[in-house]
Amino acid sequence: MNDRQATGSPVTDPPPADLLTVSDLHVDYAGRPAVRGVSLSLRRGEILGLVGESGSGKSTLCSAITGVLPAGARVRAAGLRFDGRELTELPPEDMRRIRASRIGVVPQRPMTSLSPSTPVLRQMRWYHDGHDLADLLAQVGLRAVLDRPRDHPHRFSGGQLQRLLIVLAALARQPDLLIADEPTTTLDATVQAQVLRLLLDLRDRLGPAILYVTHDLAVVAQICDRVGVMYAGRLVESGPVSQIFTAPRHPYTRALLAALPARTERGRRLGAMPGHTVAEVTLSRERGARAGSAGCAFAPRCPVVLARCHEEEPTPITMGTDVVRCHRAGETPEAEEDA
Amino acid sequence: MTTVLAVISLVFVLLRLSPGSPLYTLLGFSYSEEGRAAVAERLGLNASIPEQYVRYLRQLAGGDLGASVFSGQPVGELLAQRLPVSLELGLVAGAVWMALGILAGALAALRHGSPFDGLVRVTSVVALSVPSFWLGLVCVLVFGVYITGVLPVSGYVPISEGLPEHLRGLVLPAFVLGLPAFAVVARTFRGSVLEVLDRDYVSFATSMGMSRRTLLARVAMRNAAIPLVTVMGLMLGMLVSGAILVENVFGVPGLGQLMVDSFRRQDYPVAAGCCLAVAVLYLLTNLLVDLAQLAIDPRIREGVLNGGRVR
Repeated sequence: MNDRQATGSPVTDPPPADLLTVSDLHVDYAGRPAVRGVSLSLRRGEILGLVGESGSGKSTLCSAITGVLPAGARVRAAGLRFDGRELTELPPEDMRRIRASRIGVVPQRPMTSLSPSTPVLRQMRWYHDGHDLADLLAQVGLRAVLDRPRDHPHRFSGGQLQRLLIVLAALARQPDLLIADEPTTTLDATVQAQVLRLLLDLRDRLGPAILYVTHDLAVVAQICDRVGVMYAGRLVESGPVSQIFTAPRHPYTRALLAALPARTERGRRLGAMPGHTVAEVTLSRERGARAGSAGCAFAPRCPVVLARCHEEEPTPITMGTDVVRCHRAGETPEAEEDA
Repeated sequence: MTTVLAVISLVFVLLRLSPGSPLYTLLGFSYSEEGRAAVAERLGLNASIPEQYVRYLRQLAGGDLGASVFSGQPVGELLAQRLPVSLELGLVAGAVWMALGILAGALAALRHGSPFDGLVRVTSVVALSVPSFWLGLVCVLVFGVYITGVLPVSGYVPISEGLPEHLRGLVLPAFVLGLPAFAVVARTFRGSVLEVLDRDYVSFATSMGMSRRTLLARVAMRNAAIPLVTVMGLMLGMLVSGAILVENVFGVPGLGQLMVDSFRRQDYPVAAGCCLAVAVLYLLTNLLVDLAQLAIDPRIREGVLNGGRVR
């Protein structure tokens, strides 16, 4: 696949070619922006974690990559390249074929992601009719599904369904890119660990790029190579996990990390982030003057806000391996702490 | 069974409580006290109401529906004549209109927001708000006065006199009778298809690269049909009651006409027999709906298997 890219697009400059490159992606739902100017890239074998609160645009970003967006959504991007092909210019049938073979999506809510009125096994055969289904099911410890050909989704637990969906989206088709949109949010803790192990094992054996969306920073620390932090539709900071967890530069990232229980000393209160979530802020902003799109979206909640932050939106600054959208990113963290 | 008993009792009591008596209609101008007593004696109407009730029930239990007070014709025989006419009208109207409703609803949902969608929505609201007796009269006016000779506006041609003529006679009554069913089915199905298209399992199937056509056939329509079955059952019931008005407007000799006539003349056994027939029809439709749901929705099926369903 890599040689095809070398011959197909001679202008690609970085030698270890990225499998997925998103540049300046915008998504609107009926005129309301959900993703604004996100750029990111992903290499084979790499796991990129995407974190951010509800409504920050994580899921929309994922849907925009696969092209499965609800009616009324509008996508604009300077580029959405997947393995050398520009996805935004592909005819729908080609895009469908890419979804059918090269990009896998593990959904957020396993319990409702299979049709309730058709037996699970029959649905699995819609997508994968190979002889190796028994082997694949054995890999996730669910060979018994073969003995339950008449059982509908409601007879299975969330964890079982999620493992079955992983079989379909990842193991059976061995995609180049796997998008996991909060795959463990609705599962209990032990099942979560099971699913994570499954994903890591998959990465080690087959080497797909994985985009892992989550609220859970602990999971990010555990499995991801790099992490992107989203706030109000923007990627406010991205970089290697080690970098972001030890020296976060964006005040939002810092606040997120401060709210982690493990990082808080015993006896001290957990850090809570001041202000309101994006959804609340956008709502109140829409009710009031519609002007407020200038300036940094995090400014109303930012502990180190400057007058400039309300007027001028920060542009992404590259600092070593880290990319940050903050006017004060250049200052040393210590200096900001004192301010 | 309880329902049927309740219907019988209710009809019985209401008929007896309503003013007048078949005796007056029967005797007419030759009314006299002696005549009345004689006829009442013959028809068993001089017994007390509870007595009459018990006697009627006993008769029913033996499978006898009684006979018309006027013609002496057995009620069972009358029903056997009239019921097939109504059933045919109702089933034709229901089948054609509901099929159209499903088609229109599905297309409207798939072309959500298009002019066709708007047309379906407006048509359903209009079709639901127009009373069927008025629409029936308009049809009679249009096809009886302005455009004559195309469709018969009244009368009924038995099937023995030729299928084409027979069907031609059914067109207008079936049109008027089935229109509300079309409206309700189209609206319901449009709504449930739209809802289903928004579900997680549809996005998952799409993200797995399932083609739109396969997705609609395997996933969307199948799940959207579950609420539809209930509504279609209700509509079949509605077709039975709608038949009462429509049959009278178009002069179709079905159960509806028999019912109205018998009530007007207070022909107790016939009126009760008609109501009994309608009640049984309703119950059968309900049973059919339940069975259809059982076949289509696994969750209900399991409820039954585990004995979780309360009758």
